[in-house]
Amino acid sequence: MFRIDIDTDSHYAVLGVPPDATPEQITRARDVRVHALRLRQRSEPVNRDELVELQKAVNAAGEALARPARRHEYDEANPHLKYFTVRTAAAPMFVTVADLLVVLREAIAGHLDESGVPLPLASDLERIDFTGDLTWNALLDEEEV
Amino acid sequence: MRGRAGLLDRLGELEGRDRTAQVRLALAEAEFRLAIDPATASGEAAERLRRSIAHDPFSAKARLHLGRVLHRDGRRWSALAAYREAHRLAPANPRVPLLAGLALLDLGKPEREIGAALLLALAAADPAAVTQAMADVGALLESRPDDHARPGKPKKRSTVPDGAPVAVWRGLLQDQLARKTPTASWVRSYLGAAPDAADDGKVAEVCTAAVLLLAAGMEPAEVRDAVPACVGRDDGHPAVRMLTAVLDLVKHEDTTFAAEAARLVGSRLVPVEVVCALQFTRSDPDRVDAITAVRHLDGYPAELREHACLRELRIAVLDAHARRAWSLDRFDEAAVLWRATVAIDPYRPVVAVNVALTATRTRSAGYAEAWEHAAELPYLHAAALAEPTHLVDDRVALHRALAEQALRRSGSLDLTGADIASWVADGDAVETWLSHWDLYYVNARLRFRSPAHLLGAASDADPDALTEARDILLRHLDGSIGTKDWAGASQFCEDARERVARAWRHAADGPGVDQHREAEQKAADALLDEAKRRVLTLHHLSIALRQGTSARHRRLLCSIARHEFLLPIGRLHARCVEQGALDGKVHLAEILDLATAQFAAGWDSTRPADPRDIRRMLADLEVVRAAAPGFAGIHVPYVRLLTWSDRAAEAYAAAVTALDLAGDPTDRTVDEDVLDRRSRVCDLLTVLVDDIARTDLDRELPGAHDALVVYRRAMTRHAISVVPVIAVANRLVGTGKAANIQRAEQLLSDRLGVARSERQRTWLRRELRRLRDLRSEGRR
Repeated sequence: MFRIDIDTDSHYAVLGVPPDATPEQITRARDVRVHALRLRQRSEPVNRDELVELQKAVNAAGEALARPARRHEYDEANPHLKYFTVRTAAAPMFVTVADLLVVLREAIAGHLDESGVPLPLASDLERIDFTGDLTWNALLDEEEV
Repeated sequence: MRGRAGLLDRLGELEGRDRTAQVRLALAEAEFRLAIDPATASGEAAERLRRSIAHDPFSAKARLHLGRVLHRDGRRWSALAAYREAHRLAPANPRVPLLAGLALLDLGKPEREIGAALLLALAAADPAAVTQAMADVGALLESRPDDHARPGKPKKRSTVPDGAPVAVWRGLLQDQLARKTPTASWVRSYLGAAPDAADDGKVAEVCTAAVLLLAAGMEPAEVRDAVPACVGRDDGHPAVRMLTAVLDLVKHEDTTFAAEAARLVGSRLVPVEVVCALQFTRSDPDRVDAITAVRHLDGYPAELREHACLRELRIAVLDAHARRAWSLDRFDEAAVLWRATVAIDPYRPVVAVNVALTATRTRSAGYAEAWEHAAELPYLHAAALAEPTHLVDDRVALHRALAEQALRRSGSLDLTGADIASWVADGDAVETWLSHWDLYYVNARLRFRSPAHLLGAASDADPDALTEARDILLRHLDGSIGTKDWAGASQFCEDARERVARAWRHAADGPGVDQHREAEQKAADALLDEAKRRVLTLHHLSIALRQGTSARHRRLLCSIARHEFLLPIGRLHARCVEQGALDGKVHLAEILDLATAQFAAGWDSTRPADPRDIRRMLADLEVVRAAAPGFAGIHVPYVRLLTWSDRAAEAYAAAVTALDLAGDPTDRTVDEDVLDRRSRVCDLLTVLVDDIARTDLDRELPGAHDALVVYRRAMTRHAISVVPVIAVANRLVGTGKAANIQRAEQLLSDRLGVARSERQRTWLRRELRRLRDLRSEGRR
């Protein structure tokens, strides 16, 4: 098979984040990388110029991806990046707080239910019985009366 | 109330009635009841709710439930659109803004701001604030997805209002945790404002919230301090015992954590999911290295390690460390870690891609196999669910990415000779482009929700055009995914065929019920343009490759023909004419047909050394013949390949059929361009027919007693060829008798009248001239 170019110099690759990273993840990745590069500049003076260039690239990538309009433009021009970048393989509960909360709440609700103390249903998302929403209709219900 | 079966019966009966207002309301209610039945799958529920709305456009409850169903399916933006409509119809219903607020919390930062404002407005029972927040939702929906206008700065929020409904209270916790780790003051305010459910309920709510805060990384001391005193008093309550156990557990060192956690899970004091969440935070690559993290996981008893959540935890931990290794350019380490997750779950598509990426970076020997596996898995998953749209975005992205990269190897899209030479020499870049683009196209079609766009039919397509579009797409499906020996590919094709058949039935109902058509029009046009560029590139490639004589060139040319004729040529022709790429005098299909005929004209008579090549090329051309049954030129390479396969009789029959399809090249009533193309195709076909007859004679003559008998038999068997006719004529001339020369002349003259090509006619005229010259010489 021909050698795929996985664009190691794409903005996402430079920051080490997936193409579906949130703005927060992008900002954090930029900060972590810049911090690490600054430390290396001090500990590796021989490589300073190269590391400074790398830091500029990290900053430029962060700048381009942190702004939604510029990121959208970049993504449109580079659709293959969506695939040629490592992505998170973990289950959603280990990826986002929202998913973690959903899983844990359901697990705890099941746990308490088994113990005889069910959590109250909070919203329509948790309910399955909507009998109260039905409307009497003559053509549907009359002959049953 | 009727049960499901009764409702379905009644629905069927009502659908046959005249659509009076009363009947329409009954239909709406019946669809609604079927949709909210817990036994109804979400896809069907959404469809029924849409039908309910179509019957009764003023039904707020149908829109609310449509939003709920979409919301539960994770389609939050679509859900928000439904909630907005429900709110417009029933602004006083608090269920709608509550669900909208919860949906917003799961989206990005600006959406979350509006969601939190909505929940706070509900908590404060402030209708004006609710209306304002719902108006912001509307503005947000209008700004999606292409522009990035966002609402203004978020309003400051300090405390949690007392007495908020449970859902609002829970939503606010979710909002806080999504922002950052909450401050101690907020947590105190939040837990103190727990809703007044019945006593047991309140304790359970507070303890659950406290455990969630701990799992999200809140300091245990702050949570302990913030829990209201009323909770602490009830130490017999299962929720309090759970919270106490978790607070004790988080105090343990890494080395003893697993053992204690296993004990708590075994004693049914703490759910295993909570333990997994806490363990995950302790396995962060910033905190421990991969080996230590794995060692901690190995501290759990074997039977607990087999629990689904623990298995997911191990994958999550290995994946987190693999991604960290990747980001630090330690690709071998990343590969080892991701491969370790394969042992736990061999069918995870994301892992397959990550492994393929590491194989690319490390140039490992398993590179091609890794990408093949990454392409295969999304089909397997979709087949397992019998849902061809499952992971369709991944498939579209993968195939498009591979096709684009492969095409970029050509250097430029103008495809000059030098570009093509280097492209063809670049591994299997051309083959990758050929196959992955088709896979991309078929998946991109299957992704459309509009039946017409899914089929690839024009906006004004009549039933015949819809059927033709369906057949073209099905052929494309069979010719791309259907040729793969991937696990699940055949089941996937079966499910995809069913989806296409469903789309065809819906499209046949008329454009009125195609509610996605307009929204998807831009994407459909873009896909059609891509297909147009594809066919033009294929055509240029075919012309350029004619010069090559290698077996690979021949294989590529046949493959290109197959890929060309799988496309919806009719629609592409119209598009080309519309955009000025063609003048419209000659149909695109005819151009491709002639090009296919001409590429085989350049083939010398040497048959390929490898019989598998012939079989592959024949298989490609069989697809072309099925896709373009009315075309003659495509038979030129086909007939040549049949003769190389020693199937002379079939080859001859195919050539005769093709000559009939080509039409009469002497018919002066048709356009000159058409006549010219016809003439060229007939010339090429008669070369083949004559070659077949010559080969036959060469085989039979050596052992024959009477050559004339062999020639006459050949004339019968190969009636369209002029070779046996000329051979008989020469034989007659060879006798030297004047009568025989005259008979030979007659034979050639008769044949001249029915010759099938200009080439044959020229040949016969030349022979006739020779005979006449001979006769004149004899007289002299």
